[in-house]
Amino acid sequence: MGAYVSLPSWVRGIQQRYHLEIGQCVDCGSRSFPPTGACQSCASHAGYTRTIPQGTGAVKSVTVVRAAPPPEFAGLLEQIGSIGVVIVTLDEGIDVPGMLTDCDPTTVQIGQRVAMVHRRIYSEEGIVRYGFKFRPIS
Amino acid sequence: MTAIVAWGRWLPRARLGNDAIREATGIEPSDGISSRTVAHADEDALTMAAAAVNDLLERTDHSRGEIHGVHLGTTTPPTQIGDLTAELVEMCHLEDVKFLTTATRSARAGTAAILSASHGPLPAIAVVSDAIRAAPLSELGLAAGAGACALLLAQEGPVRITETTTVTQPHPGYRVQSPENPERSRYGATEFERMGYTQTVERALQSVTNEPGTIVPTAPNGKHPARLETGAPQREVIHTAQEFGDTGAASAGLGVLRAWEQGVENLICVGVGAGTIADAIVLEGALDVEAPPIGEEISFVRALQLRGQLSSQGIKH
Repeated sequence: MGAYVSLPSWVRGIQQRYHLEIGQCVDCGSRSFPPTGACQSCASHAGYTRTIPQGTGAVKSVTVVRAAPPPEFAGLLEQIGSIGVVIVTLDEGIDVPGMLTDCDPTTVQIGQRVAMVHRRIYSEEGIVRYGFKFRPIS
Repeated sequence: MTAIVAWGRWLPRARLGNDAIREATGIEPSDGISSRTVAHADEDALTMAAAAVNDLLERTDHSRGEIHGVHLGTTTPPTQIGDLTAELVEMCHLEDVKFLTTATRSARAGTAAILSASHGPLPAIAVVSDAIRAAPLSELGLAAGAGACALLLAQEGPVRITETTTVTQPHPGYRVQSPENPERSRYGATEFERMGYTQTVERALQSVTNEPGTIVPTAPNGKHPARLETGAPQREVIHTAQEFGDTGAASAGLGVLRAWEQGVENLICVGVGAGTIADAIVLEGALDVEAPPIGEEISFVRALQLRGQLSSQGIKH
């Protein structure tokens, strides 16, 4: 959440925003999200083999935003009252940040199983920005 | 012969019942609807279509790379400019789509998407999705529902499409929305409006060689589809308006799933919208469909908040 993201920057990350595309370092095999820049594990610039995960995982960390959101999320916060922000450990073993949806975020516990869904993230400059969120699954 | 081989569905969790409407407004809905699905604040016709397609792909052995056609039907596109179906293809990671279409402007878009899929390269997905929105206390606003349904079409499969027809029946005014008045509304003459629905559907029914006893029509409410049974007791009409409200272009597809859920194996799906054209699709066979998940009851105020119609700025349509 937060900070203005220009439309070109948003579009450059569309594979991650729509598919959670992750990268596996061709040198050490560690996974990175997003798969850009140096490997988070070995700092190699050799590049990544890109894969699309299943989109399921478990909540590792959860924060609930109830007030003073970044301006692009002010409308959503007024509509739903609180916004859940999570770090999810995907079943492929990598951590990704995201937002919760389809739930009361105050009830979400560490370890809660979640699945990726496509949702409106916000609308800015007259353009709806779509991306992934996580919703609880049993 | 084209066939339907798999299905997918997405229904928002929130449900707005008649009790909640009565408690908040004093209005007693009388349109044959007892509950409506309400899209979450971050949902729209595109995200629900993506959810229905992903649900379908989890239920079939066909891989994403095998899908060659995608056909979207909706009356509530979230943007006026832009190819929604292309966005949908990208969201759902369908890598080898050769032909895609978008049908809109009429609830008939639901069957138009199925017809487009049947006439294009196969396997193809027809996905229909709508999140209806109108003035909160208007008849259309009180009926508004939301949902999506996806069908996978292939050369052969358990449900054969045995006949399709399209008929025109000049009867404008069933639904009104114009650049001068962008709010979705109705013409307002009760009998004229009812005839716009029933006569157009009847014309579609008469256009097929053999009319099956079960009709699954576009259902903007419960009262107009019920008229199709009046004077024709041999007919059975199946729809989901009573449970999900007016799901627009998605209503015909969701009705087909409800018919299969009930074990119906021969039916005619009729798509109708603005009142000037109708499609008829005769289906033989059925897929296994389970009952949809139970939703969560919400208040009328909560429904308006989720739809973005109530905020600190007041009520907006």
